[in-house]
Amino acid sequence: MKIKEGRVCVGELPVAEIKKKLVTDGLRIKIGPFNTSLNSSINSVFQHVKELYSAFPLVKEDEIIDFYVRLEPTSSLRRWVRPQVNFSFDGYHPFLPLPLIQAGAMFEWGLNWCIANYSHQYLIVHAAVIEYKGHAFIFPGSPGSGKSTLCAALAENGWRLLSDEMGLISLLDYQLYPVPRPISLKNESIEVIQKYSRNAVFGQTFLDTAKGTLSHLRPSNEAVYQKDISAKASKIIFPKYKKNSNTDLKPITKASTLLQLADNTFNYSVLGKTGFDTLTEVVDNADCYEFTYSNLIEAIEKMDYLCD
Amino acid sequence: MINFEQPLITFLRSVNHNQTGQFVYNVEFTELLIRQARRANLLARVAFLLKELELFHKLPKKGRDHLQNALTVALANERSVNVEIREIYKLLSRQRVPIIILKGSAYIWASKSASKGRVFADVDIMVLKKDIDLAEKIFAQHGWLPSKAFDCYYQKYYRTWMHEIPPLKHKRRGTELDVHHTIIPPTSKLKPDPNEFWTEAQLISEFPGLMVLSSVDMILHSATHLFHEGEFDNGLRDISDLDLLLSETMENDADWEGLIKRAKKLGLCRPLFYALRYTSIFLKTPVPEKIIRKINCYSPGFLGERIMDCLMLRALMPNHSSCDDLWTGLARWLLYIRSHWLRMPLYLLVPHLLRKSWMRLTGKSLD
Amino acid sequence: MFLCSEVELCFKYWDSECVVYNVLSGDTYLFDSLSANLLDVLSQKSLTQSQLISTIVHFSSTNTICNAESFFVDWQKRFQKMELIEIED
Repeated sequence: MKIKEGRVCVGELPVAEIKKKLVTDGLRIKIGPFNTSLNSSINSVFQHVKELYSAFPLVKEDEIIDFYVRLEPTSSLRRWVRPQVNFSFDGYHPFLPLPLIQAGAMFEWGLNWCIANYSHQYLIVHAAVIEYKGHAFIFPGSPGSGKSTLCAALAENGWRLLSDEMGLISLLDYQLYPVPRPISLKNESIEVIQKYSRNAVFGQTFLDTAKGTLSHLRPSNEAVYQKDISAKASKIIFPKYKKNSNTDLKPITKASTLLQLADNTFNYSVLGKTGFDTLTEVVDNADCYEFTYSNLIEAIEKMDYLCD
Repeated sequence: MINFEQPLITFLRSVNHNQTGQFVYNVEFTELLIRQARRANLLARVAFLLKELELFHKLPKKGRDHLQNALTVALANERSVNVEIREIYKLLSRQRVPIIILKGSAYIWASKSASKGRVFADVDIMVLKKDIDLAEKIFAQHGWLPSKAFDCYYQKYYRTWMHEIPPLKHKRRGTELDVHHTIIPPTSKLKPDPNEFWTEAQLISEFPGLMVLSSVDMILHSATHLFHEGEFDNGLRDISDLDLLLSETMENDADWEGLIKRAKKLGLCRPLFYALRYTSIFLKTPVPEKIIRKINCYSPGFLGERIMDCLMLRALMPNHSSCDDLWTGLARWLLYIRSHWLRMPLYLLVPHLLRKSWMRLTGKSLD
Repeated sequence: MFLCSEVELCFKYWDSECVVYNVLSGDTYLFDSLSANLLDVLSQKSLTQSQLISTIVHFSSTNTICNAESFFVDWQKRFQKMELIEIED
């Protein structure tokens, strides 16, 4: 499982060593372009990392850590009644505590928060980004749009995952930079993907979260190994899952795409005019569509067709 | 034992004494500098200073990225403040309500050196006490709503005992606004005459009716805010602001004498004593010897100084695990209690703190 | 007539639409190209009503002054409400 640059990955470490690092000086993982140091004494966090991050390379000693994160049980009286977990970013707690059993999911949400708040060298779009034959597709989407299901199915179909939640567009070269991570799927989508792909590996299932039932699909090793390979945005497609609908791909204007994309950009107001210029450049060079679907197989065929 | 040999503190001290070239910006130093600065809300300032001193290129790439990102956020903050102040000015000037801009917003509008890399969560303004009700009405009519659902108790807390209407939030833009009518709660022991601030306020030329405090009053306000308001998450940031304001404003002996004279007039010598003491301890701000002797008359005495040092020297360190010792948590908590004690008489303080604890225990929180 | 002082605009045109960005506030708008063109010329200098109406005739397929005038009236109302333009007294 060794990849380039002489890096060791998480899965190559003995289990005892992973556990030790988690409770001492931190398990230091490279997640896309971000060096993350994770500390946690919680067993389910260890399991989450072991199941879903084994292909991820470790950070070397002489590299700067971007995010120091910690997941620990809360120390209040509630610990004995309904135990909870706290997420902290270098000592700062951005969230209220969650039930202890959701610790693995909290790690993922916490990482989303870190990236969205501290990575303004990128324009960060709330979107799934996936690539095939040199074409990168951006699927911006609000919850319920079906973008994660579509993204997961494409990833299981040989497309390269760049991200399921956060499209990173460099302000310097307007390319999309990968941050391949476990894909979060909710409710019916979990079963849909399990049926679609026998090889799909899922982590823990979290019940009763704020978003319903949640589970994470392990990203392919290839996606993780190619995390340094950027891609140019070829298509911007706004997906909409609608039960019993036909598969319908409709071109939309670049102007309305720009506006909708700005609405879906985490750090649009922080970046000011640079954000506007970057989005303009990306939209100018991409084909833009709205996409309604209900049948996953047909949807994938349509996406494959767009690549030819 | 407090250890001042931390990357953030040694860096800021070195800026004061032109010794920034001494550091090796390797991975270890750079990473800890960034972590401490981020927790102290000083990352943008450090970035600004490194650029100003042409040292930015010496840092490893990831370090440059984090520093640049902090500057990006600071610039966005500045744009936002400009929009807000213009909007607020448009609304209040129509009704001829004069405004003094306070704190961070004022540093930016008055182009003070303390504006360098300054980031802040809300806009603070002061109006005359007679205009406070009118101001509240105007804001309510133009999209400014209470930022949280305050019950009757907290409404009274803010209006009667503090010196502001409950914090407001703009429903569309999301920015937060605090409207004061003096700089310290009327219930506190210090009682500077608010009219004095208006008398010395500096006008902003293109905006009649819009003002900032005089440079000396900005220093005294910052000192009073820090040492009586009890918010130490931004403690070192406020020390840094004071350091920059002092360096910029105090050019000669006459300026220093003027500062002491003004502090005496406003009854703010004790906060000034603390300000000068802790800026010189933390950042080695150059304060003339004879000024130190003069302001020492307003010290809380030998025991008071030792106790305050014990608490302040911990609380003002960056709020980062690398700077904590065993007593840091306790020190911050004691200062929090103290700040309430300074603002409220005892008969109000105890029920207030009990109520806050109850809200927290039952899972409700106003924070 | 001129742009409001708190307004500094960037324009990106695609066919019959234009995305307009206010650099000072970060507000982003989608307008038809003609409406955006009027803002664009105003961002360079202030113009009188009749000058703006001539601009409408010049840029669009509206070849009667009457249609241009009616377009202008709607445009002015809309953009004044958005606080993007101001009329000189």
